[in-house]
Amino acid sequence: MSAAAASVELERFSFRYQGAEAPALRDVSLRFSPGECVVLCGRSGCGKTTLTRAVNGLIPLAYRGERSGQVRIGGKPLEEHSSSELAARVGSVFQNPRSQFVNSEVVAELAFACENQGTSRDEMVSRIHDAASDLGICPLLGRRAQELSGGQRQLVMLAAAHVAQADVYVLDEPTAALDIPSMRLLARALARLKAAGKTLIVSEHRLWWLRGLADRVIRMEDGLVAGSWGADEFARIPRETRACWGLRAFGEDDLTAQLRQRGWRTPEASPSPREDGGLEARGLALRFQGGAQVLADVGLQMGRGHILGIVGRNGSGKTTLARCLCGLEREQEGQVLLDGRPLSPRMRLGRSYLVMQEPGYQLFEDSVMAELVQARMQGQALAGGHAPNEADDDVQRLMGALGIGPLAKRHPLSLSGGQRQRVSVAAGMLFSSEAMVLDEPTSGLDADGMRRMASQLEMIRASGKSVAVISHDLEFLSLVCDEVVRMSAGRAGPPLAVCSSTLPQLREALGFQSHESL
Amino acid sequence: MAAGGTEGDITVRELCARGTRSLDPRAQLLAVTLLNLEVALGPDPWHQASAMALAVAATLFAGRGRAAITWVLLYLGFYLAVRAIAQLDLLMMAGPASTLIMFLRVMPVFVLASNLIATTRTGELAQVLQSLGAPPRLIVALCVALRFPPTLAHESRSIAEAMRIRGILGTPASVLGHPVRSVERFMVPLIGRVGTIADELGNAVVARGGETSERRSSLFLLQWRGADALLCVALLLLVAHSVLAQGSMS
Repeated sequence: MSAAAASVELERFSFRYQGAEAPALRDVSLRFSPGECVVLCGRSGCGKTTLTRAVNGLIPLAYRGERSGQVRIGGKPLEEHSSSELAARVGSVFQNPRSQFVNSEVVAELAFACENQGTSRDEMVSRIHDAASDLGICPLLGRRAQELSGGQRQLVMLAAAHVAQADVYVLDEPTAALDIPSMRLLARALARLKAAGKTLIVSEHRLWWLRGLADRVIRMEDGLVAGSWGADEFARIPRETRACWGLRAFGEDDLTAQLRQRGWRTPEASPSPREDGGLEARGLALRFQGGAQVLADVGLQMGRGHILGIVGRNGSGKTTLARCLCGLEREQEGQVLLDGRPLSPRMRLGRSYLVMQEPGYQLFEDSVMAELVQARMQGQALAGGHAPNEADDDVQRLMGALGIGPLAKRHPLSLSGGQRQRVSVAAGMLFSSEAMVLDEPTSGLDADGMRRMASQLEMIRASGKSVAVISHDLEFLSLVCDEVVRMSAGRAGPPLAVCSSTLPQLREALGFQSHESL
Repeated sequence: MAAGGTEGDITVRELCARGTRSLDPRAQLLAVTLLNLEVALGPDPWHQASAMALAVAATLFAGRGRAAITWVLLYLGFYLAVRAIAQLDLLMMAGPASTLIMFLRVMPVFVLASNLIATTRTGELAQVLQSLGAPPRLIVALCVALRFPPTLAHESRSIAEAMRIRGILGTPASVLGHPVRSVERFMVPLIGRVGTIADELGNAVVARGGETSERRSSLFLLQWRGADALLCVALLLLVAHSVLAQGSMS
């Protein structure tokens, strides 16, 4: 491909963040063409996000460090673009749908980049209308950001880049917080942009939704380009090889085949929840003040040594149910029982532990070791027992079992996202609760992180706790869950055993068959 | 690619017409500045009450009735608490009373500032700051700051819930018994989250050209109206009165 045809070029580009020991990108040379969709994949820390920052100009605008080599956008070196010029050429969609909205209204968000370019009002109005139509978000124009789902927010971000008439779209793990139908909506929007000749650069762990969209797949490792393949060529690489690289399934067929290929837990291998007690919800109903019914007649059983998956669309009531089970919300009707005994919301606190989706909320101490020791002691205190003298021993044993011993003296704020997640779950394990609910524990994790989380859950299962997991991650659910319950409009469906024969129903429960629009 | 929405979709022009704020951000910035001056100059109850009344009126005018009522109730509550403490005439209550008096004095500024934050769009603020000659980096920082209060509220609530889950925020007694430890345990995750969100918001602003030195435009029309002028004139008069009152006292 000629230099003139490339919309983005990196030529022997290297970058080391200020204060970092090792470079995040090393001697990267890549070209991206108009109308091309390129997927960046690799383990966490391989350099994918740094590469996206090099393309959208956050390096050097927001991130200082040592740079060498060159980045060219539309044939012109990045340094020669002004800030607003760059925003006009390169649009960005980041991982967190909540913290990338700089306005509270959708229409103001769509206009923001154009306002920074000094675009006239009439021109802005016209572009906003066009972009909203092109990407199918007209129903969202009059809405406020807080009313939108994660998927809708990501679509608005994409549209905002389209309003600015970007030629290149850089997406950094855009589906980390999204359910399956939202991922499909995003994929359709990206397909339209690609058909219009835009360049798409997507950094992702969850690869299956990109199969029909991607033209090329680039694997990164330790800041280097470890391989580059056409999409079909990449799909033909043996699954085992891709798994060794820490990559997930590429395409729905690959996902299904991967799930069918490996061993499944048989229903006989797990104890029946009804025989073993555990945490149970009966007829739970909850309505927020002035709002719609969030939970309606919800009943489910979390047996001891049993892992229940809770699935459903964003907004179906999963997180509210989790909060109810753990005592953070008070139901208006129904009961929550532990081993057959009703528990008030206050009694549930401490007995049923919620691992929140954002682990940063639940790390309070100045070292990992202190965090886990305190969790152990707090759990005992809440249960009415005395702080155990052997708390340190228990913690050391668990840290060894989880392989997080080297992190003992690290401050939680210095940990990576995956490490924080593991420590947060470990704190829950040590808390001596009798039940645990985990909210999206694999959000943003690579394949290795997902498997480590699965191992952690097996340890929790072995300890005899009742466990529930809220997740959109089919690979993860199939690895750990005995049964899955689907939430829809605040109601829970019947439990579905997780085994190879129920794979089609599992896929349907997660929304793989959905072809919804806004 | 085809243009136009479907029949029934709201148009952007309709949204712009609906969304024109009754108080221009420039007027609000000037009003906050004047109110700061007034708060510094006018310690007597009459001036304080007048400042509060103007701030509440601005909030009501912006269509934020519930917020206005909340502020008024808070103000009255603090005022009555101060009066009650004065009646008790206890030396040990002097500290808390002083704190409440200080809150009463600066509350009008918080009322008007919260109104500014709630009713000003990031693009509007950026345009206004640019017209005042603010450097691009400062504009980015203030745009991020504008989005912070609602974000901070959400993060604080989540952390408080996380503490409840761990039994750290179990009872008032446990907090009062270990106040430093309780504050530390709240601040560690809060600082972590605030840092992450500031980075993410800042990146979003910069990636959308927020650091531009080119002349900005605004989708929503910035226009001084009668209410803006009335608010600023009223505050100017209040400040002038305070200055004269200070002068006559000395």
